[in-house]
Order: sequence, then C-alpha cells, then structure tokens
Amino acid sequence: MRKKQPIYNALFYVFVAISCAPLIMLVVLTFSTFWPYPSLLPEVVSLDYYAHVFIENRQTLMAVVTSILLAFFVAFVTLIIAIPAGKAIACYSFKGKGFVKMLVLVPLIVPSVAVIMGIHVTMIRIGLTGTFFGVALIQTLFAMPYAIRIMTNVFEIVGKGLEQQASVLGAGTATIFIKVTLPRIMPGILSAGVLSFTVSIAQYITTFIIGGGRIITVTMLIIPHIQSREHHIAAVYSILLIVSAMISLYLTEKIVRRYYDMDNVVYV
Amino acid sequence: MTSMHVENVNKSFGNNHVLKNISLSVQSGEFVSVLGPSGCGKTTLLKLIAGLEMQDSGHVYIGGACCDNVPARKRGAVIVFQDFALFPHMTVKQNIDFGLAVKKISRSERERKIMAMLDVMQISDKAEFYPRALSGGQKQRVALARACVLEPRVLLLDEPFSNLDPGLRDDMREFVSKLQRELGITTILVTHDKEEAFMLSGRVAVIIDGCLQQYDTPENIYKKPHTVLVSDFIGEANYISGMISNYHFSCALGDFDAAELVDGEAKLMLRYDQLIISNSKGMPCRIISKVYKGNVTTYRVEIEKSETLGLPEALTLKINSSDSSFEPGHKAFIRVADRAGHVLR
Amino acid sequence: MLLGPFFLIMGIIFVGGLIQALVQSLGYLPAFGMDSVSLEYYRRVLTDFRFISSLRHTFYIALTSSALSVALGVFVAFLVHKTKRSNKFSFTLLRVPIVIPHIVVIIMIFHIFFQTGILSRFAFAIGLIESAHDFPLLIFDRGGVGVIIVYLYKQIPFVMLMVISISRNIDSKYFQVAENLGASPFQIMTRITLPLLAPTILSAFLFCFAFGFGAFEVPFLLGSPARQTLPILAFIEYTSPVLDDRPAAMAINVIISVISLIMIWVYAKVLSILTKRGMEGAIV
Repeated sequence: MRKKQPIYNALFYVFVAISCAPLIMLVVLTFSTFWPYPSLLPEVVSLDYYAHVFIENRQTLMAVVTSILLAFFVAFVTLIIAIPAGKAIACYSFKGKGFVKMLVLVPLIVPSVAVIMGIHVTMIRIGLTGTFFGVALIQTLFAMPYAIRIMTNVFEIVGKGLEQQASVLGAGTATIFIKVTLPRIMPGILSAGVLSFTVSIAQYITTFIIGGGRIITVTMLIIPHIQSREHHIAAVYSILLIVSAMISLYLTEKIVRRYYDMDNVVYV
Repeated sequence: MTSMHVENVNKSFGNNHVLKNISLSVQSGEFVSVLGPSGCGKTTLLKLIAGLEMQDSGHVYIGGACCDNVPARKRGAVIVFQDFALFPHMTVKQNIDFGLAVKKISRSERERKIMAMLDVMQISDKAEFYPRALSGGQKQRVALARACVLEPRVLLLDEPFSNLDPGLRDDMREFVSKLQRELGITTILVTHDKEEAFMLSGRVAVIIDGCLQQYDTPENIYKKPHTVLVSDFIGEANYISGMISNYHFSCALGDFDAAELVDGEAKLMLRYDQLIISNSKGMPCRIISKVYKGNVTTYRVEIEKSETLGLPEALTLKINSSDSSFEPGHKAFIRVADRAGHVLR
Repeated sequence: MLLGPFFLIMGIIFVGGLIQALVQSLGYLPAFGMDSVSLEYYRRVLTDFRFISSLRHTFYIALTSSALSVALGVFVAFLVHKTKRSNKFSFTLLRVPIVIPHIVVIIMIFHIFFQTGILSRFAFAIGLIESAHDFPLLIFDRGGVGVIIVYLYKQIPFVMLMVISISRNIDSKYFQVAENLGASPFQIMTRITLPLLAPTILSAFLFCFAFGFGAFEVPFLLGSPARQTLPILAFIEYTSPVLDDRPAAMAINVIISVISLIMIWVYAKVLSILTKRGMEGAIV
C-alpha cells in the first residue's frame, strides 16, 4: 500500500493540472495578438483585445451590468422559492413527498431548450419576451433545483427543534424566522444564492430566445464572437464575466458576513 | 482454542493518554470482561487486539505468537461492535457470508457453515432479510453470527448489549454466555455495566483512567477491591478510617483481618448490604433518613461520637435492609455481617 | 403552503411550456392560422433520417460523456481520499471547473484540442506531425470528441464532489468491520464502498446524462455540422423561416421531454429499490 502512495500523489496532481491548465490557456489567449502556427508561444503580446472590448465596444459595460443584475435578481427570486420549499421537504411529512422530491429535479433533467421553445409563444402573448423580468423568470426555473436541494439539506441539519423552543417561549412566526431560523440557515442561503447566481451567469439559450436580442448579457456577446472565430475577444469577455462575477460574490459575502457570524460557507 | 495476552501496551491520541501500560492475559476458552467507565479506553484496547489500531508501545500476542506486525485482516480476532454495523446493502445471509467470501472458501463449504450458524443463532427464517427490517436482538444475532462463523481465535465484544431493550438484554446475555461455552471461543467483553461483567465472565479486568486497576474474579472485585477507585466504581460503600498494626485493622466497628497490608492508616470498606440493622444486636445508632426502594430500603444512620469507641466525631453510615419498619428519629442497632468487611488503602 | 411558490413557477413555466410544446406539435398554432390537429408532424419527424441519426448521436454523446465522467469522477475522489488532500488548496483547484461557465470552457478546449491548438503545436514541435492537418480532428468532428471533452472537464469534478461529500457520511465503522472480518483493501472497495455509493453514483450518472442529452451551447459551438444533437435539430427547425417547421420542432421537443421524464421515472424506480435495501441517505 505504501509503495503506491507516490503514484496516487502524482495522479492527483495530474488532475489538478488538468483542471487549471485550460484557464491559463484562456488568459494567454487574451494577450496574444499574433500567434501563428506552429509557435508554442505568442509572438506578439498586447492589450489590443482588452482595448477593443472596453473602449471600442460601448455595449460591454451595459452587458456586464445586465449580467450581474440579472444574476442577483435570479438568485433572489430563487431563494424566495427555495427557502420555504426546502423547509417543507426537510421538516414536514406530507402526502406525495417522494413525488415532490423528484419533481424538484425535473427542470434539471428535461432539456431547457424544449421548455423554452414551448413557453415562448405564451411569453410573447403576455408581453414578457424581451424583458428583464421574463428572462429572469425562466432562469429561475433552472436555478431552482440546485437551490432547493441545498436548502433541503440545510433544513435537514438545522431541524425544527430550536424553532419549536422559540414558539413555546412565545415568539411569533415572523420573529422566529428572522431571529432564530435565518441566522442558522444563512450559510446555506449564501451557498444556494451563489449557485443560482452562477447558473444565471452561464445561461445563453434562455436569454437568446426569451430575451429576443433585447436583453444583452455578457454570454450573449461571447457566443457571436465564438461563432465568428474571434476567440481572443470572446476570451476577454469570458475573463470579464468570471472576474465580475467573482467580485460581486465576494462583496456579497463580505456584506452578509458583517451581519451574520458564519464559519463555513460551502460553495457548490 | 487460543490464548491471548497483551503486554505493557500504551496508546495515546494526541495528548490523551488512553491506555497506560496495560498487561492482560486471557486463557484459552476463557470469558473475560473489561470493565470501566465510558471513555476509559476499553474500546481502544479491543481495536489494538484486533489490529484496527496500532499501539504506541507494547505487544499483543495471540496463541502465544506476537502479532504486532500482522494486519487486522489476518489476526483472527473479530470484533462485534456496539451498534452491530451490519452492512446495510447486504442480506442477513450475505452479511454472515462476508468474512467467508473474502477468504475464497468454496461455495458449498460456506453455505454449510452459514446454515449451521443461522440455526445456532435461531435466525434461519431471516436469512434473506435486509438489516433495516430486523429488530435489535436479531441484528445482534446476525452480528454475532457474522463473527462466529469465521471461528475466530479471539472473539471481541464491544458493549454488545447496550443498544438492546432491558428485557431483551437479559435474554441475549444468557444466549451469549451459553454460546460461548458451547463454542469454547476465547472471548473478551468490553462493558461499563458491572452486573453484565460479573454475570458473564470468569474474570474481570477493571480499567479506570487508562490504567488496569484490578484483574480478578467478580466476587473478589466486588468484595475485595484493591483501591477505593475500584470499590467506588463497582458500587456504593461506607468507608471507615482506622489503623493497621500487625496485620490487624482496628476501627470503631471492631477488628478486621488485614493480612496483605503493611502497618499504617487504612480504610474499611463495607457495602450497604454488609451492615445489618436490628432492634437488639450491635452498636446503638439513630436513624436519620429512610429511602424506600421496594425490595430494599436504604437507611442513613448516625453513631454518636464516643471517645471510648475511638470515635472523635459522629459516624454516618448507609445500610440496605429488607426490613422497612424503622423510622427516622428512632433508635436502632447495627452490626457488621459475618465475614464481611474489606480493608484497603 | 410552503411549496406554493415552487408549484407556481413549475406549473406556469415548466408544465405550461411543455403543454404549449405539445399543443403546437399537434399542429395547432392559431396565431399563424394553423388550427387543425393531427399527428402529421410526429410522423414527419419520426420518419426523417436526420432525426433518427440525431437521436442516435445524442444518446452516444450523453452516454459516453456521463459514463466517463462517473468513472473518472469516482477515481479522482478515490485519489483525493488516498492522498488525504480534501482540505488542501490543491483540492480547491480541482473544483475550479465547476464554476466556469460552459461557453468559457468551450473557448479553452477549442484552443487546446483544435488542429491549430496547443496540443497540435506540441506535437509539431516534437516532430510527431508535419502540419496542422496531420493532427486528428477533435473539434467539429463527427465523433463529438470536443463536445465530450467539455462535458468531462465540467462533470468530473462535479461527480468527484458528490462522491466525496456522500462518502464522508458513510460510517467508517463499516470499513473497520470489513477489515476485521478479513477483507483486503481491494475487497473493501468493491464489496463495501462502491455498493454503498451506488445511489450517489446513479444520481451523478443521471445528472451527467441529462446534461449531455439536453445541452445546447456545447454541441452548437463545437459539434460537427453533419451530426447534430436533438436540441440543436429542434432549434434549427424552430428558427426556420418555413412556418411548417415549427410544429416539427415542437414534436422533437416533446419527444426529448418524454425521454427525459422516462429517465427520471427509471431513476426513481431504481432508487426506491436501493432504498428498500436499506441504502438511504445518499439521495441527492
């Protein structure tokens, strides 16, 4: 057994390298202005692509703002749905619970394309296509399974003992939720929120069909560039997307931490 | 049939010195209990014997051979855990088969052994059940069967009865005792329940604070503990101070034999049931309180201070009696039961 | 009551969407002046050779990517366990792919595996190939290698994380008992660990399979134009200027939804069998 240890270590680092190497590739791409085959390294390195994205393209800033706002909104709506749903599934027994558990997974399994195309006509009829709210609503559907799953786990751990204690002591429902439940489930809320946020950020086909070209997120800018083989520009947008998402999540966590004392926040 | 002994074994987890220089011999076919309060390192001792943990120093011998370097799976010392740890994804039969299957014994041989064991454990009708469908007692039988079917050289039982209902517990204790005698497997039982240890085993090893305090027959452990620590753990007792001179201990209640102890201060230990309360014989005393417990009544009595008896202060004693007619405030007499009383340091 | 908002969204958007797709697939689109109901479009789709080959290709992509993801994911989880690195920074690096959006992964994978990608350049540098055309076509290829690689990159860490978080919940006593009863490390793995992880592995497989089956962006941007997956086929029909193609797109959508629902049903069945055997706690 001992003899195999170095092999395990080596293989472990191989997988770590595989995880990270593509990211390096992405960063290199954004700087390599001239990189003809078969050079191993770019021959001309510059900030031209960044200049193009930030200075020449006026849509960029707006797209970043749209992406982030949309993602926050989706995370918010998803949580409003997922917190009570998670509590119901974890803490109460009711008829058809097994069915509901499976139903939660359904949006994850049924291809989004099928649902989106189906609802498209209805969305047009009620005037939600091309609107921020319309896109957010659809994205919420696909963020829900993850968030509900996390909240269910959290409520299973937290249980309802403390809440019952609080209500025996005479606290009202709202007070119990704000003072007792919320602080305990805050790490879970944060994890679920982060996951919903990343689901929204990555959405393309939803925004494309329901947004009808009027809601421009960063992903919406990336895809045409990939299609037209302007990968360097797409890479810059990708970095922009990842960095802005990370900054927003980092700041959110900072703010939440200021109000709640938390040890472990599990991302994904 | 195998003897087992551990020699000067030490084990620490971080700063926690769990086992301190433990030496223990178990003869072939013997049933020994390791008794101690929760968290005294008993389970760790079992794991060391089984090879699931490695001692920091000292040796483990099974069948006379040192097996410090023998991996757990080849030692033949099988533990039955407190929570039984039946594999949830296997049926009763598959659970029992597990140890045989990994040894690549022929299918017909395995089948025969399993059937015999199911029969011994009286669970033949549960062979195809999954563990979740079994009651506590049935799970225990499966766990025992899974261990015994391997014909282990040493059988190690880790608090095997603590997860059972009280009624069932007695049945299972009897069952295990009978089984052990029939199969003649060298067995070590770990428990914090003194009754259980006394009931089942020929010898009891008391471990407190990681040290082996006393290794003796149940009767000696109860009546002749070596230290107050052991005495207190085994049961409630009165302790009366006195002096030893010339192998004789004397105190307010009289003189007692102290053949094994050197001169000096010592204590007389009297269990509550080793004092007799009556209306006539013995030393006069006054009843202070009375707690009625059904089959026994526990009295607290006081013997007044008396220079002549060598009592500079009043002496309070507790007595268990089957006679519940004495009332607080009344006078009574107490005496020490015949041949009772044990002197210790 | 607490599930109200969930049912609202599910009911209106999800079920609503599927019913709309069903109605339209039957050829009923009053907005476009089509109001006769028939199974004509299903007949058209099911007899179309493009649909049949696309169905086969979609299954191939989903099955290959999910099987490899699960196998490698379990293997990496095993490595993490063996090297005891689950609390180290390197473990965090291992999880990086989970948070990178698919479209970004597409760019990265393209530049690594394309004929002019970095691997090809390395191959050229050490003299394995003489020009970019000698490098095997791994992107836009008929075998869907590029698409599968993207899925693997995203899903291996996902499977690994699921397996690790569930194996932490497995009572370590089972391993001790097994060892005590004479099992070798290999026997413990095959007879105890893997069977106990079966429900988790099954869930992970379902998620990976479903994603490979229904994802749009990856095959859209990296797949072969000659071999399209079902969602892309549906999208092409949907955006076609010929109005008649729209119900056909919906028919495809209904078919892939039905296949997905069957998968969930099978999953629920298998899970309930496993649960009956006492293997609860691993339901994700």
